Amino acid sequence: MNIFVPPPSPKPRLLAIGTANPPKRYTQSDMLKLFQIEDRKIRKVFTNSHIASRYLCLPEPDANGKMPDETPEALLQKHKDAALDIGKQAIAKALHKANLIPKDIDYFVVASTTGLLCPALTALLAGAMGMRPDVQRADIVGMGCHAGLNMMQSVVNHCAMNPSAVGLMLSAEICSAMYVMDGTINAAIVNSLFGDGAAAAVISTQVPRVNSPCIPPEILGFSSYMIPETLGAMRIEMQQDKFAFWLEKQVPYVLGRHVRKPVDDLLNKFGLKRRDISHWIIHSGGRKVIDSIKYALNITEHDVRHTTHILRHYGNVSSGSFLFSYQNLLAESSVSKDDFMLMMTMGPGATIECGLSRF
Amino acid sequence: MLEYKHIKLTEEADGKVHVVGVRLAWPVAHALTQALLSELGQLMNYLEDERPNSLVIFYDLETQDQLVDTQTHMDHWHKWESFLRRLENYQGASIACINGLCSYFHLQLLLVCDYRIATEQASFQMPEISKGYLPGMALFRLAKYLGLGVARNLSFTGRRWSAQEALEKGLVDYQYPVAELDSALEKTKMNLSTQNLEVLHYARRLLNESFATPYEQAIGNFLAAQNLCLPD
Repeated sequence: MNIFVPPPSPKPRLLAIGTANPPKRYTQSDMLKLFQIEDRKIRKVFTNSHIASRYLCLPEPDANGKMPDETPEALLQKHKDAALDIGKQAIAKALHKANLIPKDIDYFVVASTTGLLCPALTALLAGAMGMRPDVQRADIVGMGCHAGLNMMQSVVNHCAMNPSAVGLMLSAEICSAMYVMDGTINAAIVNSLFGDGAAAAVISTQVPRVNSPCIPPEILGFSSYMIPETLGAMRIEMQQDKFAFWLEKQVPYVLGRHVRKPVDDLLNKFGLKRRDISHWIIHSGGRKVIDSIKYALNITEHDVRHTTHILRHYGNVSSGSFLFSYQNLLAESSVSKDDFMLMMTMGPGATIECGLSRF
Repeated sequence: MLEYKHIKLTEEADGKVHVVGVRLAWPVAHALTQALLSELGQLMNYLEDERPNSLVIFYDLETQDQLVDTQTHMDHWHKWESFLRRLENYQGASIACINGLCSYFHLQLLLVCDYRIATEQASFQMPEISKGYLPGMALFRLAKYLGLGVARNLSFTGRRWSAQEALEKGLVDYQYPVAELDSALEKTKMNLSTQNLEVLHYARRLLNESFATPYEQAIGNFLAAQNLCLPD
């Protein structure tokens, strides 16, 4: 039997990245003051979070210095306005670095879990940014913090099937649109952890003259791993007629117990070991998550420096966190040709997603 | 198993624990070669990939006396430390056996092993500073294990310590008459075979990080490691 073996096609590359945040940055003590939090236990949650500051879209305090209670409608509107605003900024930065314009985009995916919109963000942004009418789109909603790599996989698959295509992905998370102040420890954990931010990345097998000193890494493959017994451990619930995120406290340790499998499965596919990874780009899920991953994978504090940096200065930016960390790696100018990079995100499901790249 | 020129490996399954014996054909342990470093890298690949949770015993860390001065290339220093770091992070346990002069790179290797057993005729010396260069990251490890004052004494003076002095200062854990070395080693192996080596690995990491980690971070590290030690 004659079997047609196609020639190896070039792998899609992560050409450029851009990030943006709302204009206002808040320290944890700013937050305690603004929301007039006096409960000792809740104050401790904020001050022990290993987060120095985060960018957030918060209303101004009223004449009495109290934070107004945002209605569900106001929160949805905030999500839409802020996601469009910082989403456009992040896309513009990424396209500029890739020497591209919005009309060059063939496939466009947005991940966002912090608000539901119809028409969705891809439609709103494609129109607002002047993308072609025939741009293909997909919106990923409800996947939470791990959605960034699911989104990247979708764009990579498209670009691999269409080697002339230019793909664009955007994480736009306005976590402050899911704030519920109910005085509980769970709400305090969520409210002390998440930040607002957008991160865009351009992916293509075509490599234009990019405005970046780094070699764009080729994206080699992905792995996923669901931990079924923890399906409800991270979830969105309705509280006070608002969407609120729920995070069970055992989550970091469950992730620690399962993280080796998706990492080693992915590395095995390429004949690699963990020691072959030069750069670890891990979701800034919180200090306990980072510690659990670090010990389970036997990697060092230095290996997770980008993750801890982003957690400290931006908080958990949900699906975009790992792209913020990746940007931090590029800024460090420490990558060399042929270095392997492992990207990892974790979120509801509970799910661990991994992506492997080579510079 | 790979063929080595500078390393002789022996293996035995001793009760619960798998034992890998390592004999280094390297008496001139003041010099590193690319070939030796390459084999040490291969050894760590083998231990990590094929023999995790094993007990690794380094026999005969005996350095030739009166060595002629030589220079070690900077890249070799870097690779040597990578090997030591991998051994320090290995998911098993290690024992160093000393029955003569332990100096230069042998002494550096001794410092990353979990247990150090010496005979009465063992001696220890760190002559590098007096020769005009630094004894690698041994300075860092010595100060952590023995304290600044003792580390300074050993490294600045280049004086040779007896086995008894090394035992008193904490450089070795046990000292035995030469004739009892084998039985002492057996006893240590027996003790280790009852331990969970993965737990020992996490304990070692927490201890190594303890000096440089503030409490607020250390508690997170402990909880992350304990989570991996306890059964589901």
